[in-house]
Order: sequence, then structure tokens, then C-alpha cells
Amino acid sequence: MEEMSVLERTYRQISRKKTIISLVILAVAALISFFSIFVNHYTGLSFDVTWNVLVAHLSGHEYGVYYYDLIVWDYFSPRAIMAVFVGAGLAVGGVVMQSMLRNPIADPYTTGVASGASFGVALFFMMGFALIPTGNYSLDITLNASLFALIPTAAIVLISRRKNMTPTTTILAGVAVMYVFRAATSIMTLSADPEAVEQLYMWNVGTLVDARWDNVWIVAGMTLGCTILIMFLGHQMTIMTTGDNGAKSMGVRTKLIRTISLIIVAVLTATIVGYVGTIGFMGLIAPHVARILVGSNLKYLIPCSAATGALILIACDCVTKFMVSSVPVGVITSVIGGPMFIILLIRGAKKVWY
Amino acid sequence: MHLKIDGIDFSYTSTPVLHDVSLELEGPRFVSILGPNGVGKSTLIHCINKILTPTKGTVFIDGKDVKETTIKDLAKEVGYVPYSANDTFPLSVVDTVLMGRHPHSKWKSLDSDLDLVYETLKRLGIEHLAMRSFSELSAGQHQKVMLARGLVQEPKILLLDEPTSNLDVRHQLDVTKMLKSLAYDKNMLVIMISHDINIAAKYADEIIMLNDGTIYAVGTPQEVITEDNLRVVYGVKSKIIDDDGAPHVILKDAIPMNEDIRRADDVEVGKQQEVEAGP
Repeated sequence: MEEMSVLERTYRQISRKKTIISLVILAVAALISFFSIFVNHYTGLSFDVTWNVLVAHLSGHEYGVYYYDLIVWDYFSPRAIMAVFVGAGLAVGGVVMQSMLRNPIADPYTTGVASGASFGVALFFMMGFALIPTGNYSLDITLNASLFALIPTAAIVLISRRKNMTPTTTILAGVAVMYVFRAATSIMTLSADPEAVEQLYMWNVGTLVDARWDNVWIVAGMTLGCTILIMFLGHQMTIMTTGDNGAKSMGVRTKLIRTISLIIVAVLTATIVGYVGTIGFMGLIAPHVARILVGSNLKYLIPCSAATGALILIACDCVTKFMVSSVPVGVITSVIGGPMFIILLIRGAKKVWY
Repeated sequence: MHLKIDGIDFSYTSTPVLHDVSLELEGPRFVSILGPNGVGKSTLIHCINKILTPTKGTVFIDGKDVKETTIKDLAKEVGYVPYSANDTFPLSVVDTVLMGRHPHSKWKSLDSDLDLVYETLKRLGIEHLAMRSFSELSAGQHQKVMLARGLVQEPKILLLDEPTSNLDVRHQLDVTKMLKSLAYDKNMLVIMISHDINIAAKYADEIIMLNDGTIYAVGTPQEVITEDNLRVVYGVKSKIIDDDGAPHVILKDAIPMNEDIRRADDVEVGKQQEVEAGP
């Protein structure tokens, strides 16, 4: 009995440690998020001014200088929140795709979400086609991106439900769908006017500058909701990472869980892509960093990835705000994230990947 | 518990694997399935626990058709130890073994589950690995962990796909002996696919010998493991001696099989056709 309680104690200690790690990362992300509101390269918009704008708004007033008020309250504040939720959402998407497809290089865009979204946006920029015309320019773009993002996913989900499909063939199908949509986008680009091509290019890179109070809550809500739903499936998804046959023999309805989780992630990613474009690499790197910290049990990996994703993206966005010329955050995540990730891999533990 | 397999067929899209397999087993008992590669041993086991659905025929567990049992309920009755596990994203040994409790999972059952996991790891002599990562273990330790996962599931029927293939001789004997005593201690029906005829002969109560997707012979080791059967099913010449009541096989030579000769002919014909079809 003595020894048994030793196992219990160690197991609970480790579990507690993993929870604390996630909470610490989340706290740091929240802190940086707040700090990021103060970061800018405008002369005159000092720390004090930013602070006064925030205090004014939080106590129900507005700041006297319209220009500062606009930047701090209407642009930077929602942007700080957006970064946290976009980072978290993409990271959760990455964890789910990696676990469900049992492939470490799967990310939220593996099912062709990005190429579908890009195609939808290209249709708008180049042909003026809006799937659901609302008359609102940015809302039309968002709807086109999100809805077209779901088409490749729907194709993949339908394909993956066929009898002879394995996670590997699902990934391959995703890659194939991606090429089809890319080619379709390229064909449009050939005859499009240069301005539209540039717009599409800018959109593709992914940026947080379009965050506003009226869209940040949608992304935040979707991220929270989808993450909670995914957490409910976490235990079964963890069992599935050891193989479908074993999982079935332990009573997990593998096909159902895979389909549901792919759909949840696709809807989440499509929403995010609609508002911020395709921010690459986040969904890939954040889960792997989290794996190093808490291991691959999804009970801890999902929250830890979400926190890590939030932290990385808000940190990268701070860097972009320091820069005078506006570099999209999508570029920074890759430029900083890539080398960092390689260092992690070189130092990396066999414990984390096989 | 009572397992009845009633005339099942199974084929992968175009290749028939099992044909008209019927079988009745009752526990506590330690049963071994023998047969050469590709004969349908794993397929048969997968048909019992619904990983595969037979194209024809029915599997009954305690008189109940498995088709009418949900896989979660079936998982409480039938455990399965796969040949190998995917470890792209390895978990700790405790987490891996804890999965076996999933079919029984309730809120707040972690403490008793952890006790059971520890007890099982100890029984298999791997309790010192509890907190290690699955990927750091050797192939033999992997198998023991998977075995532990099947055991904590506390099924009435335990299916094992070559559970000792990566173990050294001492552990092979040890694990097989443990499986047998487990069958009687816990009143289980243990069905194990095995490639080691001698170990199966030494411990199994009953042996099922498969050939070409059908049951070639069923019975006690003495009844099934004969020089004739081994010649037909495995294509080997052998000598069988008696070892304290259990048959012991001494392998002599491989028989060049008719099938191989025929296949060689097919290849020749195929080549000729290719040549003729050419320009």
C-alpha cells in the first residue's frame, strides 16, 4: 500500500506541475497582451497617454484627443485581445490536427483551409464576387474567406469517412485539395489587375491590424467555445493517438471522434482566417513547444498549447509594433519562430517525438 | 463467459481472408491461435472485438450478438493487446496503461485506477518504468506496457496479438505462464496469437490451428500439434517428441510448397504476356 500511494503522489504531483505550467504561460501571455497596448512607434503616444486613454475608457469616459483615443482604444486594445485568441485558436487547431492525423507536421491548414480561404478572397478582390453580399467591404472578405475555407475541409471530412482512408491518406488528400485551390487562384491572378494581386498577397500573409471591438468578440467566442468542446473529447483523442484499433478496443468511436474534431477545428480555423488571414507556423510550433513542456496527454496539452500559442503570437505582434514600417505578424512568426523551432529540435528530447 | 463464432467470412475488398470459421470457446481457459503468416489470425481476432465486421456470419459473446453491442460496452467484456502501438506522440507509461480503464471510467475513479495500474505493472515487473515515456522503452518493454493496458481493462475475454514476439526467452515463458494463471485467477478466456509453437504447446489448454482462412484443427496441444498438421499448415518437416505430456516440436526442414511453384509459373506467364503486348 505504501508504494502504491507513492505512485499516486508522484502522478498527482506531475499533473499539478503541468497545470501550473499552463497557467503561468497564460498569465505571461495576458501580461504581454496588456503591455502590447503600450507599444507603438508614434511620437506623442507615450506610456502616460496610453494609460490615461485606458483609464478613461475603463471608467466609462473618452479621452480628449480623438487621434490617440482611436489608436489606443479602438485599434490597439482589440488587437491585443485578438492576438491572444488567434494564437490560442490556431494552436488548438494544430494540436487536434496533429493528434487526429497522427502526424507531427499537420497544422490547422492541413485540410486546405488556407488555400480555400485564399481562393474565396481572390474571388472577391479579382472578380468582385461575394458569396453573401452584405455591402460591407471587410465583412464580405471575411465571409468569403471563412465559407470557402470550409469547402476543402468538407471534402476532406467526406473523403476521410470512406472505409479505406487512413490518417496518412487524409493528409495527402488535403495536400491535393490545396493544390487544386491554389491553381484556381493562380489562374485568376494571371488576368487580374496588379492592385488586386497585391491586396491578395497582403491578405495571405496574415495581419492583426484589422482587429476591432466588433470582430474581436467573434474570434474570442469561437476560440473559447471550440477549445472547450475539444477539451471534452481530449481523453478519447489521447487514446486515439496510440492507434485506431487499440482505441476501438477500448470503446472509442474513432471515426466519429475524428470527424467531429476535424469539423470543430475547421470551423474555428475558418473563422480566424476570415479575420486575420493566414498566419502561418503558429499552429505547428505552439503545440510542439507545449509538448516539450507537458508531454502529449491532451488533457494538459490542449490548454498548454492554447496558452503557448497566445504567448507566441502576442509576443510576435509586439515585435511588429516596434517596427516603423508595418511588417505583417505572419512574417514575424515565421522569421522568429522558424529558427527557434530548429534550435528546440536540435536540443530536443526523444521523449517528445519518436 | 462464452464465445461463439458462427460461420464468419471476411474479405478485404477483393481478397477473401476468412472463410466459414465456426468456433465455440468457454472460459476460464488459455487458448492459442497458431498458423503461418497471412492466414487470417489477426483478422479473426479483429472480428471478435468489432475492429472489423465480418462479411458473413455472427459472433456471440455470452449469447449476445456483438453487432448489437456498442463498442464501449464491448470494451468492458473484451480486451485487446495489439501487436504494436503507434507512438508518434508518446505518453508516459502510467498514462498509456490508464487508458485501459477508459471503458469503465467514472468521475473520481483516478485513485483506484492508479492502484490497479501499479498492481499490474508490478505483476509484470515493470513498475520502475511507471513515469518513463513510452518512446524511451525497449521493444520488449513496449509489449509489457501494452499487455498491462489490456489487463487493467479487466475484460472477461482477453485477445492478444503475438504479445511475446519481442521478448527474450525468459520473459516469453514468464508472460505466457502469467497469462495462463490469469485465465484461471480472474476467470477469463485468454486467446493469444502465437508464433512459437512450443511455448503454445507447453501452456495452452486449447490450440486453434488456422490454414488458408479456415480452421484446420482445434483441440488440445497433443491433438493439434502433429507432424502431419505441421507439414500441411506450416510446410515444414518436423519431429515431435513428448515433453512431460506436452508435444515438443523439433524442426527439420522446409518443404518447397506447390503453391510457390505455381506462383513462379504465374510470374513466367505474366512476363510472356508483357512481352507479347509490347511493340
